[in-house]
Amino acid sequence: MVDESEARPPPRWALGLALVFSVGMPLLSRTLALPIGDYAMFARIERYHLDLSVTDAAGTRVVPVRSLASHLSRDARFVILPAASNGFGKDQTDLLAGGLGDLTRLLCQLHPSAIQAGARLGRGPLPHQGSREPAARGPLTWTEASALCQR
Amino acid sequence: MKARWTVAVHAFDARFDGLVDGRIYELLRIGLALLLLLRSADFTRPWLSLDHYEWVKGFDFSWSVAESPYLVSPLVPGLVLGARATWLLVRARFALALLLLFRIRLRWIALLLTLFDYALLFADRYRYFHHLQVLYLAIAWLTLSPTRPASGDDLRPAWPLQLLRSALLGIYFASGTAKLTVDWWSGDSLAVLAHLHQMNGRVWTWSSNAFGFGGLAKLVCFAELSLVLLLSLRATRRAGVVLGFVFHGLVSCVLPVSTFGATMALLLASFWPARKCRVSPPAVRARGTAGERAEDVADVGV
Repeated sequence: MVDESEARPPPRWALGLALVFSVGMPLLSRTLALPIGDYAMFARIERYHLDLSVTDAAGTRVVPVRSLASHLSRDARFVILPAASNGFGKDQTDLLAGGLGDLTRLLCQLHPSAIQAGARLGRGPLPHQGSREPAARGPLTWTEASALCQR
Repeated sequence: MKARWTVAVHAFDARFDGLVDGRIYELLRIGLALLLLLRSADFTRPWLSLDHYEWVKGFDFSWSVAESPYLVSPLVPGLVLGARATWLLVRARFALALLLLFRIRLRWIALLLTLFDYALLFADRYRYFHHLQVLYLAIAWLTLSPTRPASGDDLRPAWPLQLLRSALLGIYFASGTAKLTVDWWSGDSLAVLAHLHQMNGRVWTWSSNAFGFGGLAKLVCFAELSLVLLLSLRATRRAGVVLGFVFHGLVSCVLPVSTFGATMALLLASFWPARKCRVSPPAVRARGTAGERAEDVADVGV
């Protein structure tokens, strides 16, 4: 038997919108370079590396990425800590790139004497098949974020 | 011009009209509820080990920061969940998944689950995984599914299933086209994944020896794009479902993809039942009723 009350489809415009959302969202995500819902599924893997620094009265000094470990969630640790040397993954790189500002704010909180905090994310292509060593050096493209710390 | 528009509108209507065996909605609901339960807590750990138990202890997304101050980095600006809200949401989500399993207030529970899932996912940008996005979207889709349970030869409207099928085709298309790159086709991406010990098992050893990284990469890309075509055509739809089952089975043997293979296999099942349509679909829309008995409808495929 058919349930009479639910059998009629919604209006065309509603179905059309739902269809565009369901089919078009992955392609829109890719076009806008958003990591959410692009479903690349291991297709794009990059190398990424993170540098952190704070500037105080004594000058600028490097902050080890691993020193953040206890202030990060389980999931953030999986993405951020490998970047101390070389992390791998495209989605992870995109997620990290979008969160550099948040990292600088955390640095300000962790270093009360800091005037400014900076985060620098380098990302680059995979090493080629001839050298499958993940740590192989290659050109990186850098994205930077900085924050003035309120004292 | 007007005639073409009319034809296009009728074609669009025809894609969403019709009825399907209602039991597919029950299968999808039960399967999705079980997958969400399995993925959001490690309660089967004593007798069943799953990929994600490597990092999920207790409830997934439980508060895991050791020391204050902590990194606040939501994917949606302003969406900040502290320790207490997180504690509450992860438990409420598990309870709601149980209610979904037992079909209690289906659409409301699916809506609440969607809100809780995405609140937890978007409160920390580093929680995002494609397999979670697929699972949560499918849970969101349940808000559109028929509310009354189906059994025996009960028929239910096909349009929610058609939307789910479209979303699945979109995923395969996106995944397949994303692999049309030099890095993927050369096998470099697979080589790095292998180097990072992401790939393992007998299937991987045999297939990488047989086809090489490049050959295997091309096969994966070809399989994903083929699925789009096979699942779109009535004549090959069920062959596409079988190919999809095999494909996800093999991927799950090789890569630690958590519940992704099972989720996709379950969603692929949505392509199995034939869609049955009235003899004149537009006429049904025009008269605003859809009540038909099973013997009055004809199979129209996808």
